[in-house]
Amino acid sequence: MTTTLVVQGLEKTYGSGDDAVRAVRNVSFETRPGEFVALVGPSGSGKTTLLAMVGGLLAPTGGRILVNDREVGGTSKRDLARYRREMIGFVFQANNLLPFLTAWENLLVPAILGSTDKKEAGARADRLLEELGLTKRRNALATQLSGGERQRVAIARALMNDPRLVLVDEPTASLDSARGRQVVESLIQEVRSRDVLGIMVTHDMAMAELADRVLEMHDGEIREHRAGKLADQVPK
Amino acid sequence: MKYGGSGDDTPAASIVLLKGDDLPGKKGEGYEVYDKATAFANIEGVSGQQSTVTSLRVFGYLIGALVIGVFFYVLTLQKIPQIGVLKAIGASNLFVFRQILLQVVGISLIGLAISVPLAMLTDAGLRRLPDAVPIAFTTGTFVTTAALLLVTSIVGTAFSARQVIKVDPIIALGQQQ
Ligand SMILES: Nc1ncnc2c1ncn2[C@@H]1O[C@H](COP(=O)(O)OP(=O)(O)OP(=O)(O)O)[C@@H](O)[C@H]1O
Ligand SMILES: [Mg+2]
Repeated sequence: MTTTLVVQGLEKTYGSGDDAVRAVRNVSFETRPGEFVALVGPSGSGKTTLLAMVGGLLAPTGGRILVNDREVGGTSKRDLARYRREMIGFVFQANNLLPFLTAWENLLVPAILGSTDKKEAGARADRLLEELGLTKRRNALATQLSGGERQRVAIARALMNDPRLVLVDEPTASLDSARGRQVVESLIQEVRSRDVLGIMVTHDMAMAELADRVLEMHDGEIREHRAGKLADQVPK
Repeated sequence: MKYGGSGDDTPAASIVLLKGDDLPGKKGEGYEVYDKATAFANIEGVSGQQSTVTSLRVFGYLIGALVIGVFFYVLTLQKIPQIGVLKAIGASNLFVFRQILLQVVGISLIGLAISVPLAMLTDAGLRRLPDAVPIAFTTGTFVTTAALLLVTSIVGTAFSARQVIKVDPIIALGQQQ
């Protein structure tokens, strides 16, 4: 199943009156099937705000988000939690994993939330760990993993429930550039091989260039769409 | 038999234990029969001591409850970042709360498994002292205290339910390492 994402006239204003911050202003864009999009822009330009709204973590103050022609938001907290559980895979900047669980156990968390069959989930977790080169670290506690390993486990976890959209915010913030690049490359490879939409927020232009398309934000608006440098070189 | 002081004016005060039916309430020259509880309560100092012991016990339970409550509250507060991530990836409040409750009951049971044997040892130790300390640890005390502790922990957890509901899943996006 191909996933479509349509964002129309999206707005987010924090606060009101004199303190109001218009963080996202009239943003519209559409993704192409199976696309991996990088969202770049200076600090405070509204990247995280936009990502949070697409991910059902934040209610827009205007406009619409359509995933597979169904509108996100305007629904109850419970519906949003369900939307996140079933449709979205998140990779956060840090503290993704539960520290007292092993890598493998962390992967089972989404399966438990989604009440997937336990045995099937276990096998799926093992497969994902292998794909991300983490089989050896399967039984290591999250706290015993290196930063890069932790982010790769987080990527695996994001894919556990077979999401339609993978949303990533600054996945390499805590990594050196070589390790960061490895993580982003695995992320893109995993997302592409599944026909899932990916959106990654990053400060790092070198990482952004790995994507199919780069959206650049300034002061809450998308100023520039352009193809990633390597878009044509990565086989689909 | 004569009890009390030697002077004639000194009131003779003492207790003679009697066993039999329908004794309490009988009166005679210079004596009156009470049941045991009333007799103890009327001994000067005993009621005072009793109320001291009772308030010690009540405060003991209250302080215990407070400590347990604060402990689990802090435990929940420390986990707010993790609760944020769990909720962000779609966990319901109910799910998070259930996990906390399970942990609390688990920790409480472990606590009991450690503390009950310790209390028993203390009891045995006190009995061996040459001057026996007048404390009795009865099975009843153990059962009540253990049950109270467990109930307190669970009730205390109810307060962390508010914390859980208050956690906004969006914090998962803002966390630095
Ligand atoms: N909860 C909030 N309340 C008020 N203002 C906020 C809130 N969150 C973000 N903002 C403001 O909205 C604007 C956009 O913030 P956002 O976090 O989306 O930027 P960003 O592009 O992700 O920045 P960074 O690269 O630093 O992460 C900023 O001006 C920020 O100060
Ligand atoms: Mg941000």
